[in-house]
Amino acid sequence: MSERLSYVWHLGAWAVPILALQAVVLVWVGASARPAVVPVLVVTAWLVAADHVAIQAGVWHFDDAKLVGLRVGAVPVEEVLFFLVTNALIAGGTILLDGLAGPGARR
Amino acid sequence: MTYVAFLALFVVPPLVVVALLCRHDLAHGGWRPLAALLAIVYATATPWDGAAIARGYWGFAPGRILGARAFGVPVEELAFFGLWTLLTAIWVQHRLRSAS
Repeated sequence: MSERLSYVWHLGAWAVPILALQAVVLVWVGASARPAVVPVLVVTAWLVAADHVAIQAGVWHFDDAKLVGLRVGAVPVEEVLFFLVTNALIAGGTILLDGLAGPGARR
Repeated sequence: MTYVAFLALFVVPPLVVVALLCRHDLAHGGWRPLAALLAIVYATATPWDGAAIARGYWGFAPGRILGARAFGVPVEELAFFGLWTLLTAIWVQHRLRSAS
């Protein structure tokens, strides 16, 4: 495996199985993911913009040898994917756990 | 800019706004699923981030972090996970409960 795929592989190996499991359970229980779309996209865009500032300011840095090489501003494309995928995981987890909590938890 | 300043500038303010707007949900049992979600996030994300840092995929400028770490992950990064999780989750939960 190319070293440049290190980050994207590290992300995918972690997130894709969990996302797939969440998707299966969401379909199984008939839950809609639609309420999650706007928060996931808005928070992802916000964090990418904030990440750009943090990288430019030198708060954290990446090993270029372990990146594909595409960037959005200063932000590696892997990092954009990380925010998007992790926000989807957070949203999926919220839908499932809030459903489990049930209407009784809403009083 | 330090990592703490990053949190104070970019993560805490939107979380405060979302939490205030959605305080009704939080007060009516909404915090329970969020607490469970936080436990899952920390259990899964901490070893994942620690492994990436150990392998040198990313790192932090020594002068920009406090220095305390858990499982190789700076405490600010752990705070970021929790605050960000709450930001997205509180908003999603509010939309779920408004829709139902």
